[in-house]
Amino acid sequence: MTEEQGRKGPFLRGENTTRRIMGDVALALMPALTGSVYFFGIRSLLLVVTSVITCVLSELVWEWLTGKQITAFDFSAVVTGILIAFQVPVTTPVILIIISGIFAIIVVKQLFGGIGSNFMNPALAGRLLLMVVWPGKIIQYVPAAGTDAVSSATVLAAMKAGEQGNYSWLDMFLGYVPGALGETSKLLLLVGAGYLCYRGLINVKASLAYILTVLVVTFVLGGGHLFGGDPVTNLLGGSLILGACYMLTDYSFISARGRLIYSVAAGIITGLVRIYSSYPEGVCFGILAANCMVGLLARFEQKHVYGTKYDKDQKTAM
Amino acid sequence: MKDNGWKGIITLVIVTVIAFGVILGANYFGRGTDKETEQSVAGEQKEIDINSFGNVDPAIQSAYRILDEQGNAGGYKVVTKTKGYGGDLLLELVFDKNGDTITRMEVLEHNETEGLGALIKEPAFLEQFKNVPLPVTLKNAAAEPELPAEGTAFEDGTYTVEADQPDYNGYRNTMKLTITDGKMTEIIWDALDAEGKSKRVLSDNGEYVMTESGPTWKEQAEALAAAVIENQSTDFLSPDDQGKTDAVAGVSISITDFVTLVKQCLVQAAGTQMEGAQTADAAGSEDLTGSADAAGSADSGRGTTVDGVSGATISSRAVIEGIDKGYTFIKNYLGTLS
Repeated sequence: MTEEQGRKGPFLRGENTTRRIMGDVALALMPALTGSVYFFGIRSLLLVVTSVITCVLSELVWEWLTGKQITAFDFSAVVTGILIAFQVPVTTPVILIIISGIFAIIVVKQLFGGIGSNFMNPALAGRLLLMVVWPGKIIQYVPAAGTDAVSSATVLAAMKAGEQGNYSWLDMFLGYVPGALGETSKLLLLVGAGYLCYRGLINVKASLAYILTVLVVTFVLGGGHLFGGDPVTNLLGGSLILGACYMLTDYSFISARGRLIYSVAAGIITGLVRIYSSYPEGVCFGILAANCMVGLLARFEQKHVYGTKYDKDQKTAM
Repeated sequence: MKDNGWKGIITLVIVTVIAFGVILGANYFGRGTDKETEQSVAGEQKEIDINSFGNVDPAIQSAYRILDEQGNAGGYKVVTKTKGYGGDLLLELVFDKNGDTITRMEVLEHNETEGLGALIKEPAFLEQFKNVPLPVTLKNAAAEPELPAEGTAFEDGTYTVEADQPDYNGYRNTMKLTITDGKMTEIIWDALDAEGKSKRVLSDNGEYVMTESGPTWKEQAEALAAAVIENQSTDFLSPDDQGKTDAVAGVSISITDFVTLVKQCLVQAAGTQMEGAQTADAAGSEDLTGSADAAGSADSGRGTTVDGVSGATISSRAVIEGIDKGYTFIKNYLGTLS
């Protein structure tokens, strides 16, 4: 091995920094944020702003108290804050948003070493906390503005209850359905995802693999009999697109095959939770479970070390 | 990678504006959301000012008229808040235009135990209430009889009562009450399991255990009976929301069924006919007593009997209470319109 090969990489650095990447993600979420204000009123903006401020302040205070390098302004906490608010209905008490944000940043992110070292998506973990501790407080959905809906049951909740849906595919795609702040308008989420694709920040294959897996599982096993599921409602009715485009691909350091396995695993768990559990939505559980598998996948699906020849038989670098 | 920062942002803004144009335009030109709802029409909701009515039950949180295409009331929506086992229970009820049946129902908020009281949200429980005649009562709740007027003479004899259905533990309550010289002299409260075994016997044998060191079920039943015989009344027991009483030392079991069975025996002893709720079938229940009193509280002679969630009587009763209060409110509201 040469002297250069003995030094640790990376040796060439791109122009993307964490701040730039996270700033782009935050920008990509702006269309959906604007949509949430239109559909659910100004309170949605209050929740998002509260969540963002909580996350940034939590990170800042923690890093200051522990003497670490201040990274609170690299937009990662901003993205976490936005995503936490995007997963709850507009009726969520503000205090719960604050608690969720503090938990996500301090417990899930900072205690495990900060950005890049946390083993779980902080925003999803914050949502999980609310679901477990205050389940009744985050299920009060309201009909979106511009609808004449009588009931505020979400599309997936109504489907799980065996009720006939009151919303068309167009309603679900545009966002005229009850739901969490950021999940309702698939159009606006895809606009943001398109921006991330343009910037080269999204792993399209992983996202597609995840979505397709969920659709296949729910189609085959859902609906009460084999091949009785409703793939369109499963695609458009919940937070699948939000999860696939903005929360799934946090972990991209493993090999391409590993990422595929990770996405499929997340999709299988998401689909099974939607069908067999009492929760109508399973994105949170699916992605978090896959997050926990990343360590295992990284162990068995080692990325090829650049600059060396890969011996398939020995699986070692030569 | 070449940095296309500003170009990308401008494109994002333009595409977002176009997307909003699509969203707003689709709403303006109609989105084709004319699917039939359970209300037969989906209409504007006009809030009813509940504060304008005197003595509205505090359980009523809000109420709305749901207008049809002609602007007439096509239905009503009421949100009620009752006390469940773990805390407040918020129900959203949608009634038909006459307030006779529930067309849609949803548990908006609850703090019940997962896997137990939280099952009130499940379709299997909620479907029972749709499109059946109101009011509703729980199937396992024995009808609360009216005691004869004070001073009524009780005929000497032994009177027995058995519950129609087992309780949530699978035991069917029975009672034998003896009147001698016009007074209660013996009360034997028992319960039979699915195999016909007596709870008193099982309790004696140590096969039905309450707590390791506390009084057995039989001892508590006998203590209750002795207290009622001494007082010649059940009024002093005053069971709380969970059916417990502080009036008899050493008794920690729920006494609601005991009190009901005693009253049923006394009604028999006074020679009075007893009314009860009709059991529902899939098509709805029959009206036993004739036309209902539309302007007052629900008539106990009509309506539907439903199954509670097994093991979650308090949660089930909280739902029933919410429905009853919503139903009473709507009937009173409709009464003010006529």
